[in-house]
Amino acid sequence: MTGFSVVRDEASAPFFDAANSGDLLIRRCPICGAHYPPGQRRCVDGEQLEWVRASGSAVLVSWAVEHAPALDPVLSGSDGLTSKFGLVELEEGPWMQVPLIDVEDDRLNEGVAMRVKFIRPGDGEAIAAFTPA
Amino acid sequence: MTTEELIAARSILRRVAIAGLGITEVGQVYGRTAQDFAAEAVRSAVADAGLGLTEVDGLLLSNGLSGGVGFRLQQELGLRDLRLLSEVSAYGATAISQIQFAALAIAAGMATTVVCVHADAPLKEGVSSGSIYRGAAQARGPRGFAAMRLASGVRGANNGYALAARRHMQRYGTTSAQLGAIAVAERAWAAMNPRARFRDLITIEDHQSSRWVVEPLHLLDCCMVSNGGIAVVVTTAERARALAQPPVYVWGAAQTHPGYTMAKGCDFGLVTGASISGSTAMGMAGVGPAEVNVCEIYDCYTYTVLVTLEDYGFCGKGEGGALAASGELGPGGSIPTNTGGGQLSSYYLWGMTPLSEAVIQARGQGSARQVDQPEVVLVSGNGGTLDHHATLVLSPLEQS
Repeated sequence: MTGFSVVRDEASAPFFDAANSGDLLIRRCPICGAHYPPGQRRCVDGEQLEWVRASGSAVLVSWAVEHAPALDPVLSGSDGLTSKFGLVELEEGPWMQVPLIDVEDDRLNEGVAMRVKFIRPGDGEAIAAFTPA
Repeated sequence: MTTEELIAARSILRRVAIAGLGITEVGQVYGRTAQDFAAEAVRSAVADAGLGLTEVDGLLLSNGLSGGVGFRLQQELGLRDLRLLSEVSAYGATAISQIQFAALAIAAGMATTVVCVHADAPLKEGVSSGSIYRGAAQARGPRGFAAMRLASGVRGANNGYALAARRHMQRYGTTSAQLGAIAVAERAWAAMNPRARFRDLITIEDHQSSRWVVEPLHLLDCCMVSNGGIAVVVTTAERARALAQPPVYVWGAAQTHPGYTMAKGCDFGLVTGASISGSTAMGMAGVGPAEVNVCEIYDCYTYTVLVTLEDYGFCGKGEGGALAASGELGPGGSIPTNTGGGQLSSYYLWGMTPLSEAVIQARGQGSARQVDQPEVVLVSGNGGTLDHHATLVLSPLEQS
């Protein structure tokens, strides 16, 4: 698979602007204070959400290893044949499913501290991946 | 549920029974559309019941991956003046939902004889099952967050279930070999099912050496994809008793859609909708796991069987691996589970796979794989990534 890249749209533009300068933005409800992952459109109480900078710290909830060609080499493990992805729990509470990079199998455990690290598949936008802190 | 609600639910369910079952040729069957399979399944189910098509007054449709089962099916079958016609969709929980809606419609006087049909024809000659499911996930031409999710592994069912299974393994020490024991047991059942696609016995070693699809899932942890159609006729209990087949009564039915928050405190992968759905349906039926004689559990993956049996209370939370490895799920075991070989080894038509085998077992028509005189048959449906769960308790006996 070649030529994969992430192209922004109107809703994601603020996220990718921040990602390109190394900041992870997530969503927050200005009324109740609940945090959501970046793709969330509304608070469960119906309110519009605002952008807020996340700490970038998380813990690992679960992970998996895909045995198939990655969409882009930056997503591949060092063997080039597999790619890792996982669920991380952001310090603010929401989970995100993200690529896991620069991580050996023996570091992967529930609850391991993780840190955001931006990667750029192809020539598109930078996206949030996570690596052991 | 309150006592009043249980009584109300029972009074509806006792008025209906499953009277007919139709299964087309299933598997790598090419050159036919989903609608073709649906029409054949309906005709077959109605004939199985000893009815004519003119006696059908309700039709509930279910589509799989390929789509194509549409309202034109009515005209194709020559059905006139239907009193109920609708499509039902909750992915793998659809089949049981169809039975529930059919029961409600019949109890409410909307219809007397409702056919529930599911058909799918996603397989194309020479194209792998995995690429078919993945293709569906990638077909949208993603931009923005959708593209970022795609790069994050949000694509196809395998990835989501791999994350769920891994979490269970981490938390409870469940092992890949224990998951493998489910694949081995189901294959032993499939060996006795002429309709099953995979009938050669396998070992734990075969499971362990089968290729990784998405770790921690081996190939033999994953269901197949099939073309085909299955239909079930639901009618009044009174009418069913006068028809061609032994009636299969519905003792309990429930759905649970957990609405996982996917945030701090979420129990995704650890506890599923089976927990509430199972206790509700079994409560309606007045039975517990100890009274269940046969389990037909939705088995898109080995893990799904394991976690569902835990949530239904056949063992404690986290003990599903030990239960699987005990051998009790296979032929001769105390909890005969997926007696036709399930979606792992027989055929994959979403919730119709477990439901069809449950009807066969309840009727006593399982031939070599028939469980001795089952009175309580437990059926599960599961859709999305554990997002939709449904439970049915069936019996050849009227509920006392």
